[in-house]
Amino acid sequence: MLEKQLEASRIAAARQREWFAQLRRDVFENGQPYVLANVDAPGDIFQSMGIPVVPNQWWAAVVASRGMSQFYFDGMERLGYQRNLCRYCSAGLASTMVDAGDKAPWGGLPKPALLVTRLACDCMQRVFSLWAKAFNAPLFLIESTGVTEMPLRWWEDCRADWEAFHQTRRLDHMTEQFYDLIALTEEVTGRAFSAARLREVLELANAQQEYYDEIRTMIAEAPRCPIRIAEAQGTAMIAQWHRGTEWAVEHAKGFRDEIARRVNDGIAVCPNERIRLMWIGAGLWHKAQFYQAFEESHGAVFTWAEYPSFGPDAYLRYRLEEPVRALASRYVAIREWLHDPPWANAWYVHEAKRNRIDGAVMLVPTNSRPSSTGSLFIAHELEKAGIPVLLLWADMVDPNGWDDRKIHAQMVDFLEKRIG
Amino acid sequence: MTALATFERHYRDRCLAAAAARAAGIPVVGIVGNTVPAELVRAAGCFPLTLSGISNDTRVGDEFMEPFFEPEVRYIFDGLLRGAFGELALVIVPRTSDQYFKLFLYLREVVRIGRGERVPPVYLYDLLHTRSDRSRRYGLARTRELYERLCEIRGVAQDDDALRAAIVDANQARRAMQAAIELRERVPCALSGVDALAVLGAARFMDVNEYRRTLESFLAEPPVSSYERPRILIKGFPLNHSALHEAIERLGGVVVAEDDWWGSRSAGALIDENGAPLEAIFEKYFRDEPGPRVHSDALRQRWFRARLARGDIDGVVFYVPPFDDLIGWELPSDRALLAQGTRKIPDFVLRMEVGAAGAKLDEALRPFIEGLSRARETA
Repeated sequence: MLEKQLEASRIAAARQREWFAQLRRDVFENGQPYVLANVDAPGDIFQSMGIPVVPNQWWAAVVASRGMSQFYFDGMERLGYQRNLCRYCSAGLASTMVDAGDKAPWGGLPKPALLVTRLACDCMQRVFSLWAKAFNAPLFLIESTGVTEMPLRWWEDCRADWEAFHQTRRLDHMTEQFYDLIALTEEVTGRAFSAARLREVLELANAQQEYYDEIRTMIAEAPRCPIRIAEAQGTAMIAQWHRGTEWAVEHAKGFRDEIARRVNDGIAVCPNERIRLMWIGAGLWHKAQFYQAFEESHGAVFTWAEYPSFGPDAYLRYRLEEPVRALASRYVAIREWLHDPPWANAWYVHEAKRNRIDGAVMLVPTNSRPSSTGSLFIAHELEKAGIPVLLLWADMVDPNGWDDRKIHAQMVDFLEKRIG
Repeated sequence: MTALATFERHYRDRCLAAAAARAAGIPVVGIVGNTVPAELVRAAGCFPLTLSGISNDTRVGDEFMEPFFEPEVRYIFDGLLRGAFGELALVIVPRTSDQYFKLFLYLREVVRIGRGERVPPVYLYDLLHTRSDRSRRYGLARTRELYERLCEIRGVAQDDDALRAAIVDANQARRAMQAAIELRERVPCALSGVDALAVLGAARFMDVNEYRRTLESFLAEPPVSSYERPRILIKGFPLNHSALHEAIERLGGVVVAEDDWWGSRSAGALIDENGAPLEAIFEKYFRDEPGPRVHSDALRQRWFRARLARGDIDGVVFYVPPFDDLIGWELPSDRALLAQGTRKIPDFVLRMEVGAAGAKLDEALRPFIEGLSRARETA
């Protein structure tokens, strides 16, 4: 565990623990529903219905950061599931199928009222079908249509002009599926949906993302990086799961104010900052200390990660007259923006230039392939833009295969020979 | 040349018939996988060529495609970058697997960045494979668009009669394929797995009517064979080559079925000849073709369950190569099925890539096949 430098991080971590403990009490003692959803499912709908959501990938990060990945994946292997299956999306499933007794992180997941995932990759229906079966709970699958028109600057065009940006057939299909999901959620939870309430939730989500937009701009423009990016990423992600609440907006505001103070006070995480690095990929949840391992020796500082930047670029939605459709416009391409050419490459290059990046380190988790595809195109485009790239073939939640010495040597070589 | 030799030739030299069609002035359309309706391509006056093969050299594609992609997708990507399939009027990639969708995006991207000079026009056939009414309506609309696009190649009008004729041709070929599959299913088996793969697989590379005529001639005088050996079913990653079948049969088994689109499931159901033709073609590919995005688990498992229930399988080889990230999720429940009948069916999980395994393949399989042979002798 890294020492937290920000009050916003401590608040977020405490809130998350308290929220999860309350969720367990509500489910076990009061029979309240909650939804277990993949990160690319529309959590805002459930938020608007007063139903808590546990995101699959957040739970995977909890499992990994408690050092439990190895235990669970060993258990899955004993159940007949080979080691090289997707890890990031199945760590949560493993925590349900393998009994860890008292060692279960935060007491483990209770039974959800509903599971939801988007079929962005072929593994998802398998992982979530097994999970739904293990919990004996209903599952809703959101189909993922194929995109054929891909205007490059999605991060600018989609905030307000999302209707024109997306192919109508895809947006129609996603919107219709969201209405199906709403109907099922009402049926299994007994909670009523209100479009007006969803709009309020989306407005709160926008307010939160606007603060993140300020934060990412301050980090990009500060002479030296004012915060550890791993901490910023973790903190922004935790609060992101509470999107659409007053708490999340207030937290984002406090987070923004804290960064602003640090920038004004000239605080730098590494006073000796000489090399600005970009981290591409999910957080390295089992090895968070990696991010600062080269600060002292090389003045190499990770100054950019997906979060908080992805929030304002992907989640902000104006023109909320039809809130379900506006929300569908966020999710219809959310994975493609992050992982598929040309959208992903264009965004990373844009962000690298904006953040004065000297080199990029990209996580390529071969056991979480949806998170890995597009890597070589991203690397190609960054290199073409004059930004050297190091590919790290390792997993974000499974420490098996992570070789400290080897990766350290790769990094040193990269910093000294490619960046200089 | 015997009918079998003709099939073997086309199964080996997969672009042969396409080259002949091209020479005769017929545009060739490349199709990826088993979920693109070849009938639409034929109805539009073009020749459908399934892009498939084995290559040890994918250096051109490797610059952009990560090594964890399945070999066939890497082969197709590399081949299209090199122009290895000859001139193609169009390449149709279906949405029915994630890897295919990535292939589509990668092909577009190499063109965008100026590295795909030889890549033909690429088209995404956005067929969804979850079986909801919404997916059905969406897929039918995309099928209409695909047919429209295909008709543009030769400038022909969309024509229900042409679609009906294509259905009839395809059904005749499928009937003959079903008869060939029946030869394998006899006890004792009358067609080896290696031969069956060539006979069935050639359908994806030959002119449909020439294929059907050749197969009818083959069926009229089938090889006099009788394989009194352990009967093996292969389940796992689709095999576009016969290396695994060769090894199993070299070791004394006979492969009588495969749960994949190159073997026992290549023909499938016939297309309805009486309804609206475009819808009938769509229904075949939406409802009957196997694929990784078919949902639910029970539906995906239905063929395997039914085939085991016939009671004539002595052993199952699960093919789970290192690049797999799907079959492994189903393996425990598939293996559990083997113990559900009156007798437990032995199985073997093969975790190496057979195309590159060489002698190690025989070493890995030998104890299993020999064990089945001994059990058979004892029985």
